[in-house]
Amino acid sequence: MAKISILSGKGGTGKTFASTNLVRVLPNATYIDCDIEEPNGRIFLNPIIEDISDVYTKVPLIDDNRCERCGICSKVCRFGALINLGREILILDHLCHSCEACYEMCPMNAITMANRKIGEISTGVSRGIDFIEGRLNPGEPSGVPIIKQINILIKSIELSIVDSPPGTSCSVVNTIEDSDLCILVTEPTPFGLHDLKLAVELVKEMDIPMAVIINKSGSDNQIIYNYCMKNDIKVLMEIPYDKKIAELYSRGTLIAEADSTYEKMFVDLAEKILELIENEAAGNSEW
Amino acid sequence: MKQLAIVSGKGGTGKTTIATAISSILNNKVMADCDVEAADLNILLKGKKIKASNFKGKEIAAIEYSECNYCGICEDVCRFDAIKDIKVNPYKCEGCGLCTLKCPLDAIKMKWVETGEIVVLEIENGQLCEAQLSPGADGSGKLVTEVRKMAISIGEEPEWIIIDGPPGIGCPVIASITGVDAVLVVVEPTLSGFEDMQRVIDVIKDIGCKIFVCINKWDINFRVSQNIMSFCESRGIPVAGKIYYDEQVINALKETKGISEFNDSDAYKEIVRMWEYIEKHI
Repeated sequence: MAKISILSGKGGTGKTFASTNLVRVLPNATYIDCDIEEPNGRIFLNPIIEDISDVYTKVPLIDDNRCERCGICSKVCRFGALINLGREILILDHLCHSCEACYEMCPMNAITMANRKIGEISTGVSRGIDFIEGRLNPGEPSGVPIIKQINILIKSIELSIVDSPPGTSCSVVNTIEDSDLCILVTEPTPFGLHDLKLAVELVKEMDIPMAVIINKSGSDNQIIYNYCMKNDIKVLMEIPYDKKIAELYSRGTLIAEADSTYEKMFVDLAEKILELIENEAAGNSEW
Repeated sequence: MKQLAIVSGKGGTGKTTIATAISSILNNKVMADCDVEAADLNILLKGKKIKASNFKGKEIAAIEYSECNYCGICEDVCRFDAIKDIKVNPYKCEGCGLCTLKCPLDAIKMKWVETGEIVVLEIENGQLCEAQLSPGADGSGKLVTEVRKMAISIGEEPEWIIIDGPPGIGCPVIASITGVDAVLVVVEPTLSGFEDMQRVIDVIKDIGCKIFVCINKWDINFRVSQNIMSFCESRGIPVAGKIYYDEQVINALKETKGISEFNDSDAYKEIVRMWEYIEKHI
């Protein structure tokens, strides 16, 4: 079992590009889209979806016959999701964190927890590659419950390539948790570097081994290399700035399928990654 | 005072580049970088820091071990698996306080923790407010709201507040667009960009404000650009700008300069034209 997460800090640096091409050339890998706010892997892998399951969070439901409007539920809720109007208790589903404090503390046992759908998890196959995708419904504030559910599936998957959301917040933390390796995709610009540093800080804090891919590589790669060298982080691959890539990407085509030179680059990347994972498993702290 | 938020759904489509250009056009404004997980606007605006404050955006459980008899009830009741071996994992604790209510010895208290830093900077003809979320922290939506409050309070009756928003469609995006006068959606004509744009427009429509679309790198895929145009037409959303792919933008970014410093570039001219349109139709 191995879990490899692809993340970036900055949005639009090529996480999905790298993970979909990588999974195409890696034997027996499963592609997992945890960028639940904007899942795009599907556009490139065109999977045949075999199953869609709804993801729910739990929200309180009040039995009016039992409720005496004492307001304890609204007092214990630290998220402001329950408001005591006197006549009734108003429930604001979007603010609820499903902590169940109201359910636990209601003296009248008037609260049950009911399911509320926030998104779904699709599973399928894309020409031999297993495919899993989490998708948050628009208007929902947090997709973390979807990511947590996907993490349960990952536990029984041989080799997971996990496409992470951008940023450095709780959804990224939940996505990369228990990864064997994090691959950080960056661009050789001051913006790419700035956001790479934030991502590195997070991965370090979580004590996960990491390596870097430079996308849209060019004459300014040195700013990334200098930083990586200083921090003892390996650079596994440089993907050149190439208009051909941009064109194929815009149409939803995988470069590893359309161009043998790039296919070879991703095969090399896959080999390097497998080697790193093996070294790590053997306790070789080569990084 | 009017507020405009710039969002995109998909990351890396040019929000910050366009925000910087708009900033150069406006004489009396406050810029608010609400991408608090990766705030990049100041790399281009190069403001001078005038104020910084820590933001305590979250409460987490803190066990007072001198009072604790290690009974483990807190572990059992926590719905987030945030307590293991009578230790609180700050990343997992959501701050609900159920453990404090259930602890028979009253040995757990809630403590405010820092989740980020808010900074105010002096820029040309105005101010910039930005924040950096502590890596791994949650509550990025709350931090966005704080940045926006700061942006409103700091300026001297600014004509405009321009919000450079985060990618995605979740909590920080909702916090960035709530209560604004208009949202500008920046999209690149790729299949992913188009799909993400539709998802973010669904969210904006829930909030109900004026929407403008800007197609950046308009010419990299004409077919997708056409599809975006038809989509916008069918939804009654004006396409305010069409920016052609322009090498000068890339060169400017490499030198960490705003595109406004290349003011004869096609990209900058188009952004100026787009801004005139937005001001007129907002």
